[in-house]
Amino acid sequence: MPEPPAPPPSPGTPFQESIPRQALGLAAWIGLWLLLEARFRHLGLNDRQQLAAFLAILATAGALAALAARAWLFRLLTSVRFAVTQGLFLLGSALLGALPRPGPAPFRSLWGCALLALLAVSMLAVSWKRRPYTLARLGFLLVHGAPSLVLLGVLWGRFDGVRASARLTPGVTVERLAGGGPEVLLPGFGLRLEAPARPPDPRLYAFIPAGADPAGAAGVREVPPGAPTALPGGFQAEQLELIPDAVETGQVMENPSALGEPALRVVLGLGLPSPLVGHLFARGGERSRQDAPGGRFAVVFREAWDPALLASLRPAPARAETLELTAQGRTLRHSAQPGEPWQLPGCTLQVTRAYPDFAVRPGPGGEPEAFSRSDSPREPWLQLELADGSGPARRLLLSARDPALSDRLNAPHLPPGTTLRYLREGEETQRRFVLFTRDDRQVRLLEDGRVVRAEPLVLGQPFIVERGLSVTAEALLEHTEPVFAANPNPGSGRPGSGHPVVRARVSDPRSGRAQVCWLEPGSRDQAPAPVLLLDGQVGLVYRDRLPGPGAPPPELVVLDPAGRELARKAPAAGDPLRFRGYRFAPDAGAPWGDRIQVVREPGLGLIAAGCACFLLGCAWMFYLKPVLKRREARP
Amino acid sequence: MSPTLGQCQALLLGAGAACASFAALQHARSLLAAPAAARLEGSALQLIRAGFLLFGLALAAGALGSWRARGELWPGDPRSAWALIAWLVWFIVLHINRIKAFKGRATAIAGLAGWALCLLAWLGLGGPA
Repeated sequence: MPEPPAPPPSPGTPFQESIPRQALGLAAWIGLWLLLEARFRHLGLNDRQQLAAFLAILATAGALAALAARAWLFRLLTSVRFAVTQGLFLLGSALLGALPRPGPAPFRSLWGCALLALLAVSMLAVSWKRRPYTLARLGFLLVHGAPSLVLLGVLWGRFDGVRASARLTPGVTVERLAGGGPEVLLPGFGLRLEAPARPPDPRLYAFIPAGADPAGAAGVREVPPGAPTALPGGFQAEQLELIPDAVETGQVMENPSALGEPALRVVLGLGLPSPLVGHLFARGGERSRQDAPGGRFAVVFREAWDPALLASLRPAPARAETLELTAQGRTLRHSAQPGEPWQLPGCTLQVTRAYPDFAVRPGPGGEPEAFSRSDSPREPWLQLELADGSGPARRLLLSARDPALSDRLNAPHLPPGTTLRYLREGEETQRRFVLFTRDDRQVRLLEDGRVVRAEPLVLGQPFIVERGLSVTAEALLEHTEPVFAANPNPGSGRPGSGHPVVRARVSDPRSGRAQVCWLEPGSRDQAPAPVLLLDGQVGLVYRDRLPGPGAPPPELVVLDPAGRELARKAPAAGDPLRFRGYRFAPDAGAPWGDRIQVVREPGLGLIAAGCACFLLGCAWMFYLKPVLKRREARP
Repeated sequence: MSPTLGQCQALLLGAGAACASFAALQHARSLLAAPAAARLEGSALQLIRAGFLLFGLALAAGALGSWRARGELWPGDPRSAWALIAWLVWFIVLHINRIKAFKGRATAIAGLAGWALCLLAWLGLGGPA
């Protein structure tokens, strides 16, 4: 016969025997920790401080409760009904964790830890109650001691663990990993990503951004030339045109809904067959200025007239000339005066000659020879010698005005990822400026820091600088939007040496919407930012080919502070690089494969020991204990 | 998760689900007032203990596989989440059976709920790896 249902607890039932009242108590316990967690966040406590406060409060509360009502508390903690109530709350937490929702997983939050702490204390109390300990009860002890080990492991991991994702630039050694989480300082070692050398091979990729596809199952798809490529969600991407070597003919367009700064479209009349056209942006910086070739004058556009501009728009010598070396994530500076050797780890750098106005002419033997056309600092270059003891000193050339050209010239002599710059701080070489101002619609001619002429700014009317030199403001754009466009380079000769661009279209056949854009690849070290189209539902990026099956994967190298290699591995998702308790693996959530996941879980051993104790204890309790008890019962 | 551990987890979940199914059969028979209900409940609990242990092993295999593959101790997939939920229901079943007032019908109903949840974990949301 089935037993009658359990009667509801009477009002006189003690707390230890009433599951509903225990449930209310546990709800209050969780609510208290939710409030405290919110308060900790409000106070700006970090993870470690929150945990310290949690442990302090828990220890104080436990000590006070033990002093005030030890027997009552012991009866509660060792009650089977309380174990059932806790099981119900753990079940609720697991259900909450299974639901897609924002915020940390329940057992990573303080209230989850508080619930686990109560369970661990209960189980320890039950173990204490089951004295004396016999071999048959070993399983029970293992099972009931395991949650304490797991909890200790979880708390230790939260206190001293690391979990971060960082993007590494190939060839650059870093000791701090930033991005995608808290900054991680690697203790006493650095990390470098070494990508295998291969020629650039840009490809067009399409993807569904994570926001539009929360499941993240869309992934990244290559869009080859030819037929449209189907994307998740019914979208299509198509490569319309590929220009292997392009000349950018980008424009700036007026768009009242755009948030771009005001810009002035100017035409520089220099007596050449085709005048120079450019856009000057109002809010300062390099984009607000255009220099006419040959140092004849410069054109500047500003929001408002300010007499202080006279002090900055006039010739000024360099306040300081320095060399700047960037390598392995560090930047070092040294004076650029000739004759002062710069001792660097493993090499010496010395400026041997300075050319204020650099030029090259045929030397006596027909070899090209560098010389200075004048003492005026129009094209300042430096000649340096790099000696590392492995052979004759190597000659480097540095341009102050064109650092990209210097990088190309010196690339064979410097380690990968190293840049050397010639900086002339505060220098101004122009003596004549044409200054357009937006608020008063004026155009002024400045010479040596003085206003020599001022006229109203009239669009389309040339402003004569001198005979044969003029500037015409063609259009004033209040809200600008950059529009990229490109044409094939008519002077292209060498295949593979050009600047490739691709024109692509994404479409949504269901709504009939489509969008077209131009894309250009970034460098090997710096991938371009993806372009989001169709209101951010589809992303496109034209970048170097992603490592695929068969392609050699990039290697992670661990280096000590002196640059010695400590470990090296090409990590994969299930085969990370492990070093001093750290686990470095490709970030599975990053589609481009250039992010690594850094994890340090110091409590892992305790958690694993807790799980093993629990499973072993269960097997002992369920299957070995009856055998042992039968043996004990034998006379 | 590496395929070996994934298959291992699926196998353990399947074995646990089989135990739970037999246990559910016993519980259902005991609820239908079949003779020797206490004996049926006893054998159902034995099967639930086996399922509890197998699901525990499956959760450990899932955690190990997740740690190896992603550096996360908790897999975060629906199958593991529902396996944990079913496992916690059995934790409750094993404890309420020790309370005299809940022996019999309440234990049988909780056991059937655990069986439904473990089938959800095994078939409904995850299925074999």
